[in-house]
Amino acid sequence: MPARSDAARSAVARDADAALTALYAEHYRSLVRLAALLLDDVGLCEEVVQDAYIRVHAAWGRLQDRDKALAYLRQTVVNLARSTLRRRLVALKHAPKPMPNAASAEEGAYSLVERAAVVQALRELPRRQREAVVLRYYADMSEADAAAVMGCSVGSVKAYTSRGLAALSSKLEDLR
Amino acid sequence: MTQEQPQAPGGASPQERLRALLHAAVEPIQPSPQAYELIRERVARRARWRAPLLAAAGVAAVVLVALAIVALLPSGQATTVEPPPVTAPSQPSAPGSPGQTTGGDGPDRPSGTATAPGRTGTSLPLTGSASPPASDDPTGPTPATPSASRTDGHSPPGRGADVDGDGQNDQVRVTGGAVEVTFAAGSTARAELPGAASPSGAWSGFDADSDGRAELIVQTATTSGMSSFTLLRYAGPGRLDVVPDGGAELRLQAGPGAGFRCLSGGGLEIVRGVTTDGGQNYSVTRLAVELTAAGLARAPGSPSVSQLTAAEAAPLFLADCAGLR
Repeated sequence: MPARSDAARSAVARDADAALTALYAEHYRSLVRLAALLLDDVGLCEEVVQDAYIRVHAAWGRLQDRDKALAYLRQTVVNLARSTLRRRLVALKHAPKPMPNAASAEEGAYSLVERAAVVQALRELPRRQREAVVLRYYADMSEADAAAVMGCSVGSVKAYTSRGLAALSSKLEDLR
Repeated sequence: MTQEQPQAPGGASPQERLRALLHAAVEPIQPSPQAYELIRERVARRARWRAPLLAAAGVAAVVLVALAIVALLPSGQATTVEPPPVTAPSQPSAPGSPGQTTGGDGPDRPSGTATAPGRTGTSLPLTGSASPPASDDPTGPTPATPSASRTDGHSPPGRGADVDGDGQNDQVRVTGGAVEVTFAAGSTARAELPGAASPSGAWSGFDADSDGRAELIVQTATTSGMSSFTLLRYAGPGRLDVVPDGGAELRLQAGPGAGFRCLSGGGLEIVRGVTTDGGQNYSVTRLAVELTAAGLARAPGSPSVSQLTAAEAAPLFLADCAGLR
């Protein structure tokens, strides 16, 4: 592979900076909310999304189709959310039991989200069903796009979505 | 404790109602106002670390590759120091091969018997063909061969050649149909001599391929005045390989109508002589041979053919290599 010249590298860096700014302005808020629905701990959603932005910025020069930067960003958010969930599961296994009088979760926006019935119901779904439901009904992605992000087939997305919706319907009166 | 959910428009499908619930649930989340600055700061920090990290990784990779190469190479390959020739006080060094000898079997032989008749001007009543005579003729002067070497099948310890090219002489011992080398570093290697139940024990060290390591030329047998030799070379730590026989044309032999000599620039010259007049004159063919990875092979160029008298040809029908004669 030919070495990239300094001028070319500078151009890519400028391009990546501009893309980062545009993607932030347009999609940061929705991606944080997407991550909040995928994670068990809403407080981690911003960290996950910021990591995703940094990774996309670092990989900007290697992106073959820059029009798909948002799709890449979403996929990175989903992947990082999965990794975070796995780490949290391991940490929870080894965490000491909380004291009976431990302080309640922080008040504010995050605690409101934590208390939402639909969020609690989502967390009881298997991970893939939760991802399919969130990508299809929160991110408004097509089955094909959701399949691409989840790394599975369209048929699997259909099945996960259907099962997830059924499970949520049994838990949430609003969906019946 | 459950937050009151906004009601979806009546009559909407479950999917539409789920969509509304999800959006409403995360609606309270507002991104941190410093998020953009945090991302920028982390991007800048990553860029600051990236160049030194990449440079360090590159250096580490180069070092690893270099170490791997050094580890994979046989020890001392980079050393091309040849030890000085080892010759017995009573054994003059072989003319025509200065600097190439790395050992010798001078001490193996009784002094004074290693000089070929041909070298002293004695005429040689060579037999009429390149093939060995039907029987040894102890009374007739035969071309000089390693007949003066030990015949007990053992060579005394203590003589060396730089077999592994580390600049130090290694101890070579020919015993019981095998060659044993004790390297200066302490390890040993052994190779069985092919078809030689009782080798004479005569051997010589000679860097035949100019790689800084001495190959060993060991006399394996003498039949009907014709001595055969086997070439062995260092093949890595603890390994000594017999160089494959290159066929009749390239066989190392010395006796009536056959000889070879080690060349000062590396490689060998194989000599074959044929007489058609009862041994008065010889048609002598000299063939340059080089040592390759596969074994002995003809060197580029045509063999030279010359017509020589018996007296002129006799000195050629020897094993003239680093004091091996």
